[in-house]
Amino acid sequence: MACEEYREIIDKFVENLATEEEKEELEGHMRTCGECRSEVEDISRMLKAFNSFESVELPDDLMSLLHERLLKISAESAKKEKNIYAFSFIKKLAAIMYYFFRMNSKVLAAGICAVLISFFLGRFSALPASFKYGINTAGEPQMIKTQTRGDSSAKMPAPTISEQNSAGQNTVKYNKTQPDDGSGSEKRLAAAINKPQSETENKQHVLQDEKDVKQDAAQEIQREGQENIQKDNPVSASGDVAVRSTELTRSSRNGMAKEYASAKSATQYKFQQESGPTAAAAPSPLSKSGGTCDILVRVDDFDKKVVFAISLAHQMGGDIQKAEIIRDNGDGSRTAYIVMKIPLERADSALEQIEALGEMEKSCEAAQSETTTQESETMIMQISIIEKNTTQTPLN
Amino acid sequence: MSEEKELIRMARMGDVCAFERLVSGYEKKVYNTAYRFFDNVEDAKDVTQEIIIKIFTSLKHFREGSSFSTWLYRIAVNTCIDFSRKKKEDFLPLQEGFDENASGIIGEYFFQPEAAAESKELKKALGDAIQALPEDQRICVVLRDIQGFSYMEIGNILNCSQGTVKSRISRGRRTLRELLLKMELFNEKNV
Repeated sequence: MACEEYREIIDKFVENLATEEEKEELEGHMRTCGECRSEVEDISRMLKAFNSFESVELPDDLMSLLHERLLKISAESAKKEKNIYAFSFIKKLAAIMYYFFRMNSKVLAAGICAVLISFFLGRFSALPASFKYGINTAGEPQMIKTQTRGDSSAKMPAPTISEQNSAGQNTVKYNKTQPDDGSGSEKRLAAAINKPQSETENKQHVLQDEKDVKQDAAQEIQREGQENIQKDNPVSASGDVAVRSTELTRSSRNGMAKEYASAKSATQYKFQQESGPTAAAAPSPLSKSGGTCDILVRVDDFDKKVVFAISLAHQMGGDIQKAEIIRDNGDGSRTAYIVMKIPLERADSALEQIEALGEMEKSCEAAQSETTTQESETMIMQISIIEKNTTQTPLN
Repeated sequence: MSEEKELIRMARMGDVCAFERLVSGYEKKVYNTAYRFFDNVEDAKDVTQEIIIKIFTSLKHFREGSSFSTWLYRIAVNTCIDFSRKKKEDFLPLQEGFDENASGIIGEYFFQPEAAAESKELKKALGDAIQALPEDQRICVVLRDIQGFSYMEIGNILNCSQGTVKSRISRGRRTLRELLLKMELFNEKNV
């Protein structure tokens, strides 16, 4: 066995790791081989010298230097980690999006299409109605007219559509298509009241201007009537007729026409109150009468004269249509507005007796009876009895 | 063991104090290994700092299933080897010159054997002779013969087999003996 083959046993022998057999074998070889014996002795001395190496202590400043460097590195790494985390998050997100896009490209395309379609649908649904029907705004009135012509009781066009039209178009259209059986309006009531007057206007040229004023005033005051009328008081009256109410007005009108307007508005208001809207919409009784006569008398003893005038109607075989006393706050004077229906043959006599009550400021001619027909042989007398007052201003 | 895991977890989060507690039992051995490897206080000091910092920064890569000490010494050994190779590259002309004169210096030194006590001079001669060993043999000799690691531990640290370790140690010891024979520290008559 060559010396090279004993080296492994020598390494074990010097460390006391060799078995007894290895020891005996090596000791037998060393008796004949001085080289191996010298090697074992030298290595054993080396190991003995290594074992005698003392442990060196750490330098004093090593740990303090290390501590400072570690703190510095820790702070820097904390900063880097933040940046790295943000960068890695973006990187991961991009990777996920890329992967998702690659794997679900069809789904994404479908989603984008759905979003685009919903967007354009939303845009078109927000367009005006004219774009929906594919016609321009000029075609709208025709469509609405067709609807209203087809059915007289058709509803009004929808507000949204009506808003598209101009104000002028709406007004004309509404007036044209307005059914005749609608509820009564103030305008038509005023027209009904004025209808007999218009029939006799050729014969009452003097009073025409005042009637016009009355008509206008009636329309104006009718809007304010409810505010002006403050209380309703029953007034005792002799005979069968009673003055139903005394209405105070705050009107400060000075002219006669305005007094008439006040009286007329009050009359219309009472009609509306007593008979309701349907009665107001119905044709006025005056329009069916054979003729009308407006009389204006200024009297001294107001109460007596009013009672007399009312009793006169019964004496003449007629009846009272309306009786009201209106107090004008402006000068404190009262005005009794009496509407009575007198048989035509006794109209002249009644007119004479009324004229005898006081100063006749406006009278009518009995010739109005010529407008009467066979179906109406009475005369409607609209009598205004005004209480004389020193402060009262003369009528125009 | 559980304390070591907790310290590792805290040190991974940047806790320097926890890290210092974690490596407090290994610092001295690492420093001594480096000192015997370089036979130089300054180099040992620099390498030890580099090793500790490398451990701190590399702690996030440590696998909890493995041995922390083995992982730590592996870093220490690799750092020492890298440092030595880098140093050898930087000072190659000087090293070559040193090698040429080394035998002379050592020879001159050992021409006066009576000038120093044998054990002390032998340790000094061994320290110098170790530096002449290749890094793989040197580290194996240092770990086995000076630091007292087992062959298995050295194999784990160096990530090689025990046979490789034994071979390196064997060759290293004989190289040292050759050097000491040249230094006439060992007597030729024994041969």
